[in-house]
Amino acid sequence: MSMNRSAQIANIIEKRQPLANKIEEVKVNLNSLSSRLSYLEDYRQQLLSKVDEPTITGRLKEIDFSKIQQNIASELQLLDKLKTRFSRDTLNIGVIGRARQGKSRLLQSLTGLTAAEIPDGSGQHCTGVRSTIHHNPNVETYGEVLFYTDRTFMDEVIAPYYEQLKLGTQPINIDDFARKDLPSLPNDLKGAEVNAKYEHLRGYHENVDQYRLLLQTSSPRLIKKEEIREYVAQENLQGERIYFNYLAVREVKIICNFPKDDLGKIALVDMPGLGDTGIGDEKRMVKTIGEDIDAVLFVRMPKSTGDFWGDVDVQLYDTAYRALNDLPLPLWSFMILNKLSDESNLKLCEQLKTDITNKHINVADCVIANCAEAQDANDKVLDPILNYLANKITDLDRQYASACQDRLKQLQTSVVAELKKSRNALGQAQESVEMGEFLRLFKRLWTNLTSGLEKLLKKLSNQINEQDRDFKKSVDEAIQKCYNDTKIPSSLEEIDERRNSRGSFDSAYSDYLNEIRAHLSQHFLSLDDGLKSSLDRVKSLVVEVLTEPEKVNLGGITEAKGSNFLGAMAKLLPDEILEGQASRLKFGFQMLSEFQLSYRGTIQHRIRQCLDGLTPDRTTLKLSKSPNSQQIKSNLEALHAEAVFQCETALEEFLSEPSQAAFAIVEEFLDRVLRAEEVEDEWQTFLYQERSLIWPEKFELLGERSRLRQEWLDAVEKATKANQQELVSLFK
Amino acid sequence: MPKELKVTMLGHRGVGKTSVLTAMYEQFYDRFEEADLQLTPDPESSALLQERLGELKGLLNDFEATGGLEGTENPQSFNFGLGKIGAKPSLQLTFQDFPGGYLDDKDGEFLKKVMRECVAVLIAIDAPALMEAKGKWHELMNRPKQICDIFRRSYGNLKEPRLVILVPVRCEKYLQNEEDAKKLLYCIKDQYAELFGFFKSENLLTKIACVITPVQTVGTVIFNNIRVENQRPRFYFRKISHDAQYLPKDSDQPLRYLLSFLLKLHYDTKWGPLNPIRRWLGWDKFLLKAARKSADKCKSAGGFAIIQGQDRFEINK
Repeated sequence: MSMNRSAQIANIIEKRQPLANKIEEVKVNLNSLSSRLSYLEDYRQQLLSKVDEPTITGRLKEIDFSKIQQNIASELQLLDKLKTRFSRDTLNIGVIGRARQGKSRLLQSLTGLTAAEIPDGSGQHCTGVRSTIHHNPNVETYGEVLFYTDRTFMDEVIAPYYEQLKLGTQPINIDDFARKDLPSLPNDLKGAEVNAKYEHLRGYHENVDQYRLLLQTSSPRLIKKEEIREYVAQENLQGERIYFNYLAVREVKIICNFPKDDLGKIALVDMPGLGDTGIGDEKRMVKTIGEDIDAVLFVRMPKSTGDFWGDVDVQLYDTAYRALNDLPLPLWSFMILNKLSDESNLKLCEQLKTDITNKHINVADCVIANCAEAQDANDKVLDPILNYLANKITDLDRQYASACQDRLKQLQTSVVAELKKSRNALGQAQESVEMGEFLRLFKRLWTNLTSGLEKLLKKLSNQINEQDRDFKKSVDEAIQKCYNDTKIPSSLEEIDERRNSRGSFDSAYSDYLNEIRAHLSQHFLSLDDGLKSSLDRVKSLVVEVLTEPEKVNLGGITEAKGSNFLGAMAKLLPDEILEGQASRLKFGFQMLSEFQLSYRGTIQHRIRQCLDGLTPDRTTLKLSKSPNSQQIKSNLEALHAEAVFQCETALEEFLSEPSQAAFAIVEEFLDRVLRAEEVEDEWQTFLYQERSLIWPEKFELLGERSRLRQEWLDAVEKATKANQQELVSLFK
Repeated sequence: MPKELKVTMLGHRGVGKTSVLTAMYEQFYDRFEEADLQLTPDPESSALLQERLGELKGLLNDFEATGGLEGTENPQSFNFGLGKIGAKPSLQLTFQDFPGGYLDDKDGEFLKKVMRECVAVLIAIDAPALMEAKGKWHELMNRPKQICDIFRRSYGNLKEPRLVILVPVRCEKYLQNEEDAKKLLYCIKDQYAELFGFFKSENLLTKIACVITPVQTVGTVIFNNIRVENQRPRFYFRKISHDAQYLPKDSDQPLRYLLSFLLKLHYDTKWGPLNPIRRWLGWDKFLLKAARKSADKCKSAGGFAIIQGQDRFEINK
């Protein structure tokens, strides 16, 4: 058995990986189910606001996804824990014990490390630094130190003190913490524990300059065996209190060769002593057990002067129990009763061992061993535990995951029930007796639609050579800006200064040309707005026809107004209206809605050509052989005026282009939505779905094939598809 | 009394007709040296030209200038004697200048009379108005329609050959390279299509010769930009470089074409006692020789073109 234990452990770790992947898949599926359900919920609210029919609203109100969403959220969290656990590449054993129970001694015995690396409680109280000790037979001992960052230090270390000690406004960062005096304890807080905590915090405050730099260093930092103590202890081996690094340390990982043979990939996690007043300890422990620990060792040293299982022991056990309630602690925890070398407490050890079940501290095994004795610790503690784990962990994992799986199944079933309610909420639709009426109305709408749009097109065609007023306005404004805001140096002194700093008139001249050109061309960027509003105006004209009350009246379909109506329609129109054919209607609306004229695409290149005179390499106006600042100034003025004039001329030619573009795009739109083959059928089919929104006084809101009904049922269907059992199944 | 030849000058006030004559006169000696010709203004004309020359050169004192020069108010004539250097002039050349305002005169009997008497008409064209801002100031500055009407009124039943010279002025910017020069020609042909069409009418086709001869009246000042104030354009010009000097170009060309045209007319005419051309011609041998020499240097490329009546010029190629 023991010969191939390391292979067995490697095998366990390997087998966990597919499970971790599966968990990830399930998480993705749960997320998508959640978003389907929230879409359905939004739609339900929308229906409730639109529908007046009491039987339908009554049924809709009974649908409740909120509890389900809560459950999904909490399952996602648990799955996260589970995944972290199954993704780890070591088997981790956590060691828990209150101060002075021999926990550190046990760790020393099992790892072969000394008090230098694992400070034992013989001197001062422990530092609260969590360390993980990894077994690796092939290396020399070294450590990896993970520091808090400025932010995590404030949030996870300092903030909880302020909160629990009611110290008022928390410092916003480490500088703030360091600069200000520590607030004094409020009068109503008293007691030894409070004082101990306050002393802890004072330690952080007084010594802030000793460790704060570490919060900025990059993690992890690799350290040699001899350096480990500087990061985990307060005192050197001589008992001098000279170390402060530990205050900034979040975790230390020590890699070393455990003395025992054939251990495999295991790690021991030293959980900081409970009962100590390091704030956040319990939270930290709960989190650690949930994610990082495969088994727990409780260490307890009965006092030779007499001892019994006390409340503190039960509390500690309960804390651990709570961390992982899907898996009963009895199956994956062990109690080590620490026997002193002189065996003065042996009797009490045996008593407590007998008494343990009475106290409901249920563990897989309770052993008596001398933790300070390497042989004893390894033979009686580590060996049997590893064997136990090697044999049981796969079952334990499965059991752990099964609990989760059971809840997921329940969740899935509860969704099925709500979806069934949803599917029936709208009741049966009326049989289609409305078709005749619809066809009559549609015919009239179609006539109005075609004649309205054709009339508009004719109007645009007549204006095709007219200057576009929106665009003209923005051109005039831009030109005015060009004249008023030139960047030409205002004084000759300024030019002389530039010449002196650049070394020559020629360089200064080039500089100025570049600056003026850049400044000038920038004034034209605002033309985009003019182009946009000119096109928006044309789009709005189309929308006016489409939404004209009494005539076409499509306005009821969506709340979007003006040119936005087109985009909303494009979005609303299905990809296929007639089966097997991409919707021409959708394409037409998309095309018109997305059509834009941009300054960059249409005008910029014309402007650039006008700027040659202001481009040092291309300008024909050079300085003379005896240049001066006056020459530069008059050149710049002339070239600037010339460039602006040319831009003005170039733009003038473009003024009617938006009108032409408008005509072209509207004509194209008409081709798509009026003249394309079978497009009338598309309109008819689409408007039939929308009939109650266009002619609300004539048709039922939730009639057969109406859009609201259709979309609701689609949403229910999509949620149903996302709620299949196999999608939340962790095991095949 | 030498024979008198009259030339009408049309063009809006301020367009630069006087400047064309000034440049022609100022550079005459250099340009017609080989022909041994001399051009002598009468004292009154001389004073006007001298004054204008001062103004033109003054343009170059500043780097930038606006508009053109102030135009002359009244119809003015410039009289030159043309003949052998150091001898009495063989020919009296009279340029009758019509300021812009006169073109507006509806009844314009005086103008009609002058047009009939003249052997040639010189039309000054403001080139920037024609070329810039897509030609939107052309109508206002150059009045092409009005000019066409003047010809319709005056040349309805023309009996004798005439030379029409279109002279783009302030055209320095458009003659810097062949491509721009082509554009200039293209624009003139386009904008004066109606006039040229009229010249091609049955009666006029064989009588009217028409050429385009751009004259750079300063040579070193080019168009820069237009700013519109109170709906009126203001043209801005600048020197091509800071050390540029007064250096007119091609100011001799209108005269060369005129001489060439007259020379051909001389040879083509069957002389009879009643031939009215005799009023103009009857040149001495020196003048014939000089005219032939100068005609050789008529330009027909780089912005120059004969629109109609190639055969009406005595040009030996």
